[in-house]
Amino acid sequence: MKVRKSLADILAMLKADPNVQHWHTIPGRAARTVPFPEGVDPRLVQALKKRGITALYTHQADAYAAASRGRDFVAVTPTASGKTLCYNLPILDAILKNPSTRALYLFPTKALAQDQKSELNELIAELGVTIHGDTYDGDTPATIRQKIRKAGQIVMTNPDMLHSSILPHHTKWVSLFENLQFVVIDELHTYRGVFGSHVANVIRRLKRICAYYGSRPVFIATSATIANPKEHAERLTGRPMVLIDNNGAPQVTKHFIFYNPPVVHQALNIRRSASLVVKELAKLFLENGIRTIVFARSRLRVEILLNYLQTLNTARTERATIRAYRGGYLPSERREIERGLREGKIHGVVSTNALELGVDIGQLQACIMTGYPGSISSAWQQAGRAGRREDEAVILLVATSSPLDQYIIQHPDYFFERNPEEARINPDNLIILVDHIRCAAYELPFKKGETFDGIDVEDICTYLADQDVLHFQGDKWFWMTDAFPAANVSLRSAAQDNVVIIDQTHPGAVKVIGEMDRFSAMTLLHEEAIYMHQGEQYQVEKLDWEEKKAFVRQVDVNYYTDANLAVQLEVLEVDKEKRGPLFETAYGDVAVRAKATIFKKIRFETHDNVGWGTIHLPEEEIHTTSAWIGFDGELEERFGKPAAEQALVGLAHLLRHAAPLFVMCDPQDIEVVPMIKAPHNGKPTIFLYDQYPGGIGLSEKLYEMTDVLLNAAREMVERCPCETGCPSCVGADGEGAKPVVLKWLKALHVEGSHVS
Amino acid sequence: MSLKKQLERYKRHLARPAENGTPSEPAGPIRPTPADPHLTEAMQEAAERLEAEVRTFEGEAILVKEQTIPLDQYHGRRPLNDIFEAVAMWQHDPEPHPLSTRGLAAEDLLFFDTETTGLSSGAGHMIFLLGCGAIRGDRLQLTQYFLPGPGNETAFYYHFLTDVKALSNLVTYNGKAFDWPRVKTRVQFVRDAVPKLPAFGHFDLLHAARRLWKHRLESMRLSAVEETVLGFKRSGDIPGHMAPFLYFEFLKRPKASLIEGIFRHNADDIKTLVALYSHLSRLIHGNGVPLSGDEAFEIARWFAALRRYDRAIALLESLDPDEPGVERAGVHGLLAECYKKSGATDKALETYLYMVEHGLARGVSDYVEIAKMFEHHYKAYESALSFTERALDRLERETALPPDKYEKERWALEQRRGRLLARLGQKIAGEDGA
Repeated sequence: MKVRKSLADILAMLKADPNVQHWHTIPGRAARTVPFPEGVDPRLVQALKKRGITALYTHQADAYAAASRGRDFVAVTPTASGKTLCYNLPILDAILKNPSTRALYLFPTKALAQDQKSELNELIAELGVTIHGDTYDGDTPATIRQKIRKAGQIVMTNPDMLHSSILPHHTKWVSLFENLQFVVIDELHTYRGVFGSHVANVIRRLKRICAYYGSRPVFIATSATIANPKEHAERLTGRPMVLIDNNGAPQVTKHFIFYNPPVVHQALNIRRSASLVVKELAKLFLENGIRTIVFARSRLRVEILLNYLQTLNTARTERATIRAYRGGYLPSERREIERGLREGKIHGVVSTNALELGVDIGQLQACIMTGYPGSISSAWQQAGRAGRREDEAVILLVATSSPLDQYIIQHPDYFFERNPEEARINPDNLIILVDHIRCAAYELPFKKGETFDGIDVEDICTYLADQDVLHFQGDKWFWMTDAFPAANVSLRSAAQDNVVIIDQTHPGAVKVIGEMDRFSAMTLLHEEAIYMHQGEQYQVEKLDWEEKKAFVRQVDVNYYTDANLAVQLEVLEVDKEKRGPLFETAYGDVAVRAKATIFKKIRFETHDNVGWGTIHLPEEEIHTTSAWIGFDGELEERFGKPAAEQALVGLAHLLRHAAPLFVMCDPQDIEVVPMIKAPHNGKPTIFLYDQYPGGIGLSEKLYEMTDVLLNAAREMVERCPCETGCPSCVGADGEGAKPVVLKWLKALHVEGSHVS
Repeated sequence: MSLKKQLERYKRHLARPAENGTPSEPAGPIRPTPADPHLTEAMQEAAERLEAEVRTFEGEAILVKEQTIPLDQYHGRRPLNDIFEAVAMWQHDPEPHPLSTRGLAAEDLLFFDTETTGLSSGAGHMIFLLGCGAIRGDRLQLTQYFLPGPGNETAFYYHFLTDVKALSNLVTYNGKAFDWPRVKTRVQFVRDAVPKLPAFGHFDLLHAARRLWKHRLESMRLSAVEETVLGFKRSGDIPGHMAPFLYFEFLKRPKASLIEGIFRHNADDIKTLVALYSHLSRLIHGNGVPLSGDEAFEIARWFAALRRYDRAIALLESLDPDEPGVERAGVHGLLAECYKKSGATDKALETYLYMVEHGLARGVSDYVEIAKMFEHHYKAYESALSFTERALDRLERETALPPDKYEKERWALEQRRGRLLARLGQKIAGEDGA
């Protein structure tokens, strides 16, 4: 019989592995605690003691002190540092002292709210006092909704529900809004980009409704480590915030291992596929009974890995013990997986960053990341999944060939010493703002002279009145159309409405298996696309673009599909401009037209191209903000047109991967497009634009740091071990381009360094 | 870039579906001047044209239109004064029923319908017309409260709530889910200035209509029901869904012609409520109204749901199962269930057996019912086993059943079968031992 290896055995094996590029051990740390503060209700102290909490961590004590002084604050806490007590303690205390006190908890997902509800209710049970803490979301049965609206002391929900259900029906929530003393925003760092910009506006609406009912709640936010928690919390809530970051929680020893797959083709610098390496490493852990979580960056990679891992187990009953977890699954499916993990019925899980959030999934010893998750903050969040309650934990970052991954893995100092990225939002994005002015006007008429949390809205109200959406009478703008505005505003996706995925494999049991935003659907749900769901392959048979329905049927093929998107750009207005030595950078408004063109069929194991087809979908157009770098004609002349083009394409590839080093965003939030002759300046130009109408502040930040960005690109290409260019630096089609790109970058004479 | 310019640039991105579509031409000088809190001259003219009275409260004004309609007027096939007979019928029926007006007089009922600016129940949609009908002597007294602009809701609810006082006997069509929650929402905004909302009680005729005619009618809209069931045909009616748009137009230029149709539509709705309540009451009591087979069946089902099995059985036993529109299996099945629930087990078993022997079984469950009765009531395990096996047999022929349902059903039947076999085993062992 095979002897099971212990974690120590496996660590020893890894120590000898030549592919381990860097080994970082984070030593364990003892807790820093203080006794319970004087003012805390003795019943609460008693209840906490019964649950084994005899003192507070330093940050929890600070949080209590801030809340009792009525200060808004943001607590920055790593995974498993007792962050929930930062808000549960002051809030339960306030409710015990005055039962009419109300609190609203916002979690980014339903799953998190469910999880926190169980935790809170266990604590309440110890108190021996009835306190109503309930989740209120799409799954809440109609029968108890009314009770929660009237008597719920702590209402746990998500921003989407607040936006589309609670605020538009505020008259049914009078007792909540009249007595609202606390608003908790958990996982603050998830509210960034488009989603964060929407949520900031939902909070503006919330504050407006509270003011109407005469309450002024304290805002309490918790966040994972990001570079700008205080600024971000202030931007999101519109309130000055106290920063609490003196973490007093203990920590287990963690081994953070950077693993670089071996080079299999020296000249082209092609490395072994990260997915294959992860498959083997995951197998090693799982076979030895080590509970493991595997992260992958995209839905596609999750499904491919799951497919691999499940085939390892086909002969046994363990097939079900390895599951996928990602967005796009239905809530019931996700709930079941979370439960399986908690109860130990599921040993391994392959996840997208959906599980980055603090859902309690029990004890995991190992965490494997397939590729760098795109931001330092995400990487730490994912790493926090391992070692929640163990003595030792191991985290493996397996690099892909992408320039960003190779940069990170070859610069461990960058990763371990640099501040994580900034979270950026732009609540004043006109499209987002106008959407929420609509919703706000629906909730309460705007009075002339009234502001929307400081923003003058007269022009917008007048515009909406001209559009026959509002009606001005007396001194107020009233909602005057039969539409329900919140229904037309989705907080989560750039597109207005999602494409629903319908499985018609069994004619008698046609069912919806997921949904996807419109922009992603162009390249993932076109006809003939292979769509993966829980490791099963589906082929899209028909995509009804008008009705937003994709009809799929289960298939069993040995390839996946990959689609191309053709993009056209036009500059509408220049807002900012500056000169560099041989280039100019600018920032402004652009029109982007995107069209899915063709797709390729790619065989799983070999990555061979085994076929292709054209995609017949209409062009989608968005207006957005963009930064761009226009290079002087002189440079083009010096290089000659073909070389200039090669340099441009290669540089765009590098910039696409360098951008996420500086702004916290999902890869699809920023798009980089090279144009050899941009229509507005006739020069070779690279555009970096926000993939959302009106922009969300990412490209503006990139404009401010063009030099730093170009330098990072230069370092990436310089340090790449390939000879003439490879997918890890200048891109897949860039063979021979490396010297050209390097020469081009050197010619620019850019000063400055990226290390902040 | 200026905000105005940006608004222009992003216009296309700013458009949202399901709003008014293309805006109409700017109304120009006829748009009421915002500075003027009182009704403009145009509004006064509109009031006269509508024969409505202007009532004010705290600087706000509303229009109130009163009219009386003789009850001997026909509404469809029957006169409105059927209402007296309908209310009288309930006085002799002591058992509870959602439509029962026992202990009330026709004059106590308030027939109630609203017109709103949108279908959602959120804070941004308003009621702009409240219509109330009450029986007064030989007349129907109809009062309509009209909101001439969104800033006049205090006056609107002040006058309405001051006038009506009691709201405990509303008769509505979908009022429970639609009209009443909206009244509550709107009153919330002006609650400090208007009388408190009184306790509310309700006869919702949509619920009844759905029970009786959902198979027969494609739409349960009041206009569809009144035409088919009451034989009332409206002339020149404006469809209900157009009302908000006409109202929005009226806000921009207060011309009576824009909203006259809405007043008429609302008045017709209220008259239909009176006639429909009468008609439903007569149907339920089987008084002087020819009952079609499907109506009788649905009324019986309703009684069964209310646990009034005697009434359900009486209706079903008198039903001719061969009448067109009557589903024989359904009638027998319901009858069997009523027998069983009222304790007439022999009759229930007899009916179920009749069904399976005459090809009227509706599915596996009818076999299971027989098996259950044999097992638990008659302790006849062999017969129970035989019908369990027939149920299994039947299950195999249910090809339309989704796989998960099939598995569940199959598992349950196998359990039953196993249990019965065990019992039979014990019995045989006992007999052998004896």
